[in-house]
Amino acid sequence: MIWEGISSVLLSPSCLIWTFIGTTVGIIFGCIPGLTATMAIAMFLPVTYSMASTQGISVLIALYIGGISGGLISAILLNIPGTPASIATCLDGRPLALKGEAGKALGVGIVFSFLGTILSLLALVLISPPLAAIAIKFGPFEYFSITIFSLTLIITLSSKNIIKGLMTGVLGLIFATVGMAPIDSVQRYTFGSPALKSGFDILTVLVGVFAISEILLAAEASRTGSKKNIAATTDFKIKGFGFSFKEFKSQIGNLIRSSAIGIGLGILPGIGSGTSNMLSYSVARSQSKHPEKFGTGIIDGVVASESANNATIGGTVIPLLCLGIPGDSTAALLLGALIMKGVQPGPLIFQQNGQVVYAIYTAMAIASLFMLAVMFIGMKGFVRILKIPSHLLLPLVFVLCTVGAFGINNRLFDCFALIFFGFVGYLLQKGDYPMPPLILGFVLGNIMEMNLRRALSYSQGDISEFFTRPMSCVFLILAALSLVVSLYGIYKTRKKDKAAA
Amino acid sequence: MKKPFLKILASALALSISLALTACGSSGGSSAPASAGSSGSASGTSWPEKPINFVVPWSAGGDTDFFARTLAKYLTTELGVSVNVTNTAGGGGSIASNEVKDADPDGYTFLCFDTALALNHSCGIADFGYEAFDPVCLNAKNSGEYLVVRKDFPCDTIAELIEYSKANPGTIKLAANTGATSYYVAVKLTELGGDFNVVNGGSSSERVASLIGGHIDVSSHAMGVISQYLDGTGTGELKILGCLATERSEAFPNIPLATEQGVDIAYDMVYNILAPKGTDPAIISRLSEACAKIINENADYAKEIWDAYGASPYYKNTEEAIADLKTDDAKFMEYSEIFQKGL
Repeated sequence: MIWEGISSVLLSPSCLIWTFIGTTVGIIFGCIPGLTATMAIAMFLPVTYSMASTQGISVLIALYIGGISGGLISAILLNIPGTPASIATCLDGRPLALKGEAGKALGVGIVFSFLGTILSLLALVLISPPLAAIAIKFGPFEYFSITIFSLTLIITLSSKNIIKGLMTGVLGLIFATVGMAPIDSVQRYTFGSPALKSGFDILTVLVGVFAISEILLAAEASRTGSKKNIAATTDFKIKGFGFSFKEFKSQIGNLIRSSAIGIGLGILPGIGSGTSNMLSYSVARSQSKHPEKFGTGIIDGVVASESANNATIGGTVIPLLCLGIPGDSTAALLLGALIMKGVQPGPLIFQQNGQVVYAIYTAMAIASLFMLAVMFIGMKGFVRILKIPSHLLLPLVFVLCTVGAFGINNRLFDCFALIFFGFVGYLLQKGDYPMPPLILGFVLGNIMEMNLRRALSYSQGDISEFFTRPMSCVFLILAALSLVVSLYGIYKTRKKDKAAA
Repeated sequence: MKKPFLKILASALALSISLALTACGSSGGSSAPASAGSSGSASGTSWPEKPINFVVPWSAGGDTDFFARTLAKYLTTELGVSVNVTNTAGGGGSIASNEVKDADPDGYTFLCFDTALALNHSCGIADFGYEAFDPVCLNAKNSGEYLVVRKDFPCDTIAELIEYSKANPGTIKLAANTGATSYYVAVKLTELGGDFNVVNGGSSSERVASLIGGHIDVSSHAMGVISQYLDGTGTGELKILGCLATERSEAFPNIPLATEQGVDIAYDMVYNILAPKGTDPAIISRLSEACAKIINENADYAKEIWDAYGASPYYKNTEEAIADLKTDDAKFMEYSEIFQKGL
């Protein structure tokens, strides 16, 4: 059974070709702001209907891996995260590019994306049943507590000004309330418009505040003449992956920790992909010997974000296969594809469809190898994007973002929402407000509210269960600790600054 | 020298990507209810002249999407034009239903929906039901929904469950989602004297995990998600109290109905195809006949839906569809007030 599954992918030329196409298309979708892995899969899904089951699922898995990995390119080169999974990559990737080390940033991102995927694949192959058993233990109380813990990350993501970080975080939470409320479907802030009933799509918010606002700022800068030209300083001659073995060795601990965070959050449906990169970035910073260097362009930040977001893929596949629970919209499409092929995920999937399971594992391994190869070959070309004058490049990006927004649900409404969030992002960036907290608040807002209300209905209004349930209590304590530690850190640096002054 | 080259490269890239996108977009379905062709009487004979668009109000990959896409695939050969499926998710399905309701009734835009149409109406997510459309036909029915508990739960039938909940008022957690069939089940069980703590449990697969994890106690499900947890077909962690459908399913004939246990709960999950009001009746009957031919006669179609969802071919013509949709609408509208206020 194991060999049958592996050989059905490995020894089938058409399957390998499709996996290659899937990976490449995924990377392209991932790196273009506005287009995502989810869209690539949604477009390819009808194509896979006529394929054999292993072949069809291999393509979709390849698109997924390519899509998540491709996001690092635009994050580093344009400061625009292609997906929520790459937000933390911008924080150090962009400063690296500004220093003229774009090639190095890309190389690090690519290699650690690959390693993160492989580590999560190992976890998936070796320990997915026990991990799925942990996921089952998570009820609404635990989910609520873990979102509270995740929200404390706002502080570490706010870089300079905590008050401003909190403000954008809360703004994100507010935007998340638009539309039908979780649980009782009450309409909030819809102003009678049917289009607002489903709220704002995460993509319109993300691409709006990062990409459109960046374009507006660049347009403004070209008027005032304060143009920053990073191409002039960029070294276009890249040797290998652009970083040394010594640098690689120094990141192994970071890789393992970030991948573990990625896998851990990946098995929790809904929280995974958008959060893991920011969490592992924050943890890497707090564990670092030189936390003050984070955000100035060091590879540690890129490693933390990119290994975590790819490790989340393996994590997400665990509840998908073992419980049939999709962690995000991309996984939901994969679930649909599996069911359509007559593969019902659940505890018996290993007995009933073992061949398909091993085919999925194999496809993941092969797709990550293809990803590494394609991105390595393409790397020298990607860096040259920086040479395209921004008055040519950015309008292009704008068009693609709008097309992507329309592609979410085939509605013009999402294009307008995109432009709206572009202006929101523009105004906030003018005031030097940090963007990642806004996305974090938006991603976690609905999950937090839904689980709080769900938990309170389970306990009939009794809040003590948040503290009496061990796992929930642990996360609340972690949240408190995280707050105290980061506030103390800020207090200390302020004191130092004052002493220096 | 370099700059013009880059300019060309950049615009070529943009062009090719947007082309690729629109091309794929239209193979996945283009949404605009295009301009050409009026719904005159002539269209009855010449229809269809261009691609037809099926709008599914859920994301790709679900049951409604599956039935629509499988049918669309065969309709493409049957009608000689491509039948595209577009997914417009959101608002519990009401965003797409609103859109198609207001679309041009030119015979090229249809809504592929399910029982949620009536549920949306009754719980106020949408302020209209089937009457806002010209129904085409009913195209599928699933193999029933079942009331499920953990193996160690001290009841074996739905009647026992109701009695047990009376003895332990408010302590049994019954999962129900607003605007879904599970909420109808909760309302009916309460009406029949049950005293449950009605809680929200999320999607069907999340509710199964919550059942096994001990977070909730009772939940209703289609067979696909639960079969791996039942005795005989799976791990035996869950057991079925009864089938909630109107008749025993062909796939699982041994499971007794709720109505056979003396509990008055019976509903079916049925999938429908609807046209915007004012669509030419000739077009509707032509499409309905084409669907009938595939559903009733095509063995490949039957095999595909059986393999994926354990469903048998099911078709009701326009007249029967209207009657059934009306019954369903009335059934759920009866509880409209409770749906909107909450239990």
